[in-house]
Amino acid sequence: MVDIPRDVPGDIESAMAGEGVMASVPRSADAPAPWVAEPVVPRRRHVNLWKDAWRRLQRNKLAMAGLCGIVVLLFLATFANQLMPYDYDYQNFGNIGEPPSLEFPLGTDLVGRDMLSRMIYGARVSMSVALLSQLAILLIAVPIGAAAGYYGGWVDTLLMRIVDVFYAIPQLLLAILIMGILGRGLENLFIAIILTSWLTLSRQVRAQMLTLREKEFVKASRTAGASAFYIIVRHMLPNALSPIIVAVTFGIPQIIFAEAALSFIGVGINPPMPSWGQMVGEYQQYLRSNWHMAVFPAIAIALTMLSFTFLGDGLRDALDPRMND
Amino acid sequence: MAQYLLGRLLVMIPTIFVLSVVLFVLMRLTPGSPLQPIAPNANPLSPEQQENLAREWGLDKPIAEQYLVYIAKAAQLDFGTSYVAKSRTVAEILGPTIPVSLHLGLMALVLAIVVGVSLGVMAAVYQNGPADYICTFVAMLGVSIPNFVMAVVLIGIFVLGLKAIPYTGGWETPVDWILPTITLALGPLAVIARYTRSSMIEAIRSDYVRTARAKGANERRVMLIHVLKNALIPPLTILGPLVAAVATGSPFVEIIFRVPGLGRYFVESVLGRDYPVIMAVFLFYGVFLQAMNLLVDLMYGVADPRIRFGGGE
Repeated sequence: MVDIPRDVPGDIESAMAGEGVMASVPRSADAPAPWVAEPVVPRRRHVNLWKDAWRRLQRNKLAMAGLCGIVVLLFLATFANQLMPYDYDYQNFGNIGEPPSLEFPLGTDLVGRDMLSRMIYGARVSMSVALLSQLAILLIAVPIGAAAGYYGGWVDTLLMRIVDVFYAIPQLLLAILIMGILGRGLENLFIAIILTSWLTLSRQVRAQMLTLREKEFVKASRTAGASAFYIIVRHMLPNALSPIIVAVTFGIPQIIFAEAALSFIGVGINPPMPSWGQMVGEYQQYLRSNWHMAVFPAIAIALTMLSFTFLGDGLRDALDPRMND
Repeated sequence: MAQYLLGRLLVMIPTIFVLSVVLFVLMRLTPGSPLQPIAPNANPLSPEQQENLAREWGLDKPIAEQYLVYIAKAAQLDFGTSYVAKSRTVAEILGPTIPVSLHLGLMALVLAIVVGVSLGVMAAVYQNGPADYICTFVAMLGVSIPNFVMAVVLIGIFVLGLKAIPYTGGWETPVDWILPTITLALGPLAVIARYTRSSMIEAIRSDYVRTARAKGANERRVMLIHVLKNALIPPLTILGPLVAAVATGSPFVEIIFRVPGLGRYFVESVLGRDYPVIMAVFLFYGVFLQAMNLLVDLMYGVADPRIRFGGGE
């Protein structure tokens, strides 16, 4: 990962890093905070983790650029219907394979559909697939990972054996296979992506839980008689929140990539619904005669992926200062 | 060592076994019969013809028996007949594609390692210098841009723009090898560069390097003998995942550049629901990747004597 050199030694971050104690959310009273107070510049004493992280994020220009890119994408995706000059499947039979012009800023495709409209609607497809399936993955992976990490035992063994089998095959190839079996379409795309992506997050949550389980505040809570559910939800998950947020931010471009890749091959969305990946796949054959048809969606995919990666990198640096060297 | 190897093999075999069972059941339970022609307007086969075909392919037996027969034959590299190209065996179809994919993958991997390691080393030695920024930039592009998008951009620049490479596609002459190799190499290259850089930086800051400098060893010697030797061990661990990444990327690269490799046939077989071919490709990928992972782990032990297999000295 890209390391942003940090030039302020001896501040809160390195104090935390030295102790090796998880930064905690402000609400939980069990955070062992006293050691923070001493070596720290007084000005920073009352800044909580999230504000602190936000400040660090703002200092990171690439991350902010990524954030701007994502905001633009979300705007395009939300208001796609209002922003599209034409319907995404409206065919202008008089303008087939037109290069970019004033009337069609990004040209038209081989059946006369406006590329700009298709690109805008493609943003909606791409973002909704990415965000919704990431949400589902979160809801599936976190409970399973938390249970496996906290209880160990057969839940853990089962999870790790599933991981073994799934990881024997590249995830994307498995997704291609699932789509091949189910047939293309938006719902099946969700199924294929969720099935092949939840394990990674689950494994990360499990690893977090394994280390947190041995911490004093968890032991204390257990001694005090708190139920497992209470300990996991109130004490352990809040402490694992930063790595989960980072994992989710990095997970989104992975899903955008998966959707584009599946649609590129022809097992993704169902035409005439546009997808950037599908456009690249279909029109890369005509690069020589109609360069614009494949190049614009390719650029869109690249910029989207870059935006999320920049933000993810920035968030990781901002939320988890110990990961810097 | 022998014990470790045995232990690893004992985990590998059930994994492949479960994978094959899951795939087999999945494919038998899915809609779409292989006993009917794929072409949309073809005449359907009569029930008698279907029965004959089912008997020939062993599809009339219970699924457990089908599986046992299949796996016994597969162990002898007999993967049956393709359901689509009905007169050709799977081995005949896939046989010629595997060397092509291996060739492409190997070239990409070598390019990724050579360029990635050099870039990472340069970036760490000249931290915050131009090399560092180039490394960061390449790493960003390589990690975040899918290779089929990169392929379009590269074709745009080198074939259509600069006209440096003729636009042929295929896998006949070494000129055809250039762009697919670069495209496939970029992702792994970025990962290697990033890993090498951070492990180099860690090594540069370590105590033994400070000691070496304090002894008066010159900078060149410190970098080559003390830093590089230790810093290259961590990047070695990601070789396994990188081989997997190359294997995953190859279908896309092979489609765009029309390379007659395994990846392209895999996609075609999925699109055509050619189950015997899909099974064979997946089993090949599974066994190949597990074997590569094992090989990398063993290499890791050779490179770093501190690692002992099987626990205990």
